[in-house]
Amino acid sequence: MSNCLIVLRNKGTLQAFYNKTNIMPMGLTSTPFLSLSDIETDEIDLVGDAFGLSSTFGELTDLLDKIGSEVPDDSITERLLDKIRKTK
Amino acid sequence: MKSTFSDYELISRFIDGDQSSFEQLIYRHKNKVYAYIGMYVRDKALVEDLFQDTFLKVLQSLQAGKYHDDGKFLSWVMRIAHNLIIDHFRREKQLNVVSNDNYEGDLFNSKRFADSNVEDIIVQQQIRKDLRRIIDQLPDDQKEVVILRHFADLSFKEIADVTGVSINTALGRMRYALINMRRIMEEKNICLTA
Repeated sequence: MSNCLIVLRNKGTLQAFYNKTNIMPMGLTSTPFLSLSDIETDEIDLVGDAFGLSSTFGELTDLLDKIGSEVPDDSITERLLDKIRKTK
Repeated sequence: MKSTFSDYELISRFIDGDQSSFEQLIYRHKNKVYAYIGMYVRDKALVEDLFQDTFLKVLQSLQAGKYHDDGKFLSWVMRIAHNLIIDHFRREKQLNVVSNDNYEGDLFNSKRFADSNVEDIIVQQQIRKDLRRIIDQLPDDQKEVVILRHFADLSFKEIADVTGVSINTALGRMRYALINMRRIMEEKNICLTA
């Protein structure tokens, strides 16, 4: 497992690793094998991760991710769909 | 309303007469488009107008056969949104972001109010406000990458498509943006925690 920690330093990749349930039990020294499909990348931009943005600017990227964006209320979406239906 | 069809399949079905396919496209992309417009325009009513105009323009363009699929539907929609924002500010003869105190809307008349702790919401709103002020001070190209990545939730590949630059350039702009944000926060002694 320690080998993995050294190799998978970037935060996103580490998160993907820890999200899996097949982490080696303590005491085993062999490196667990991870196939590509084992790594969950839905929430991670591998390009940004490889560029080291989250590891270098973690405090800022975490903040930006936590704050997130405002999404349209249901009423806004409904008004849009009404307009679209009338336009058709 | 989740669909397993790709954007291209939904567009084809819409062109073939399946009207609901366009609504599925709206549901799929509405959050990203709304967030993108919302970071440039602070007046909530104007955000909604531009949001509606964007999808109406998309609809008209699809009906007129003006869209040729190259696998970049979202990039195309974002460019339409971007052009509408620019057109609006040109019309207003005001290139700076519109400042409007009503932007935050009625905080307490929202669904989130019922779901979350009020204090948390107020803190988050304040942090978002402060972050916007910092992002507003970035050069335009850096600001755009930050907004597209963290508010419109686009990947760097999609950002490269939308902005018409290489992935490396988009990454470089993001790096400079984050360096500048750090500098601005240090200079103004701003400490943000979420």
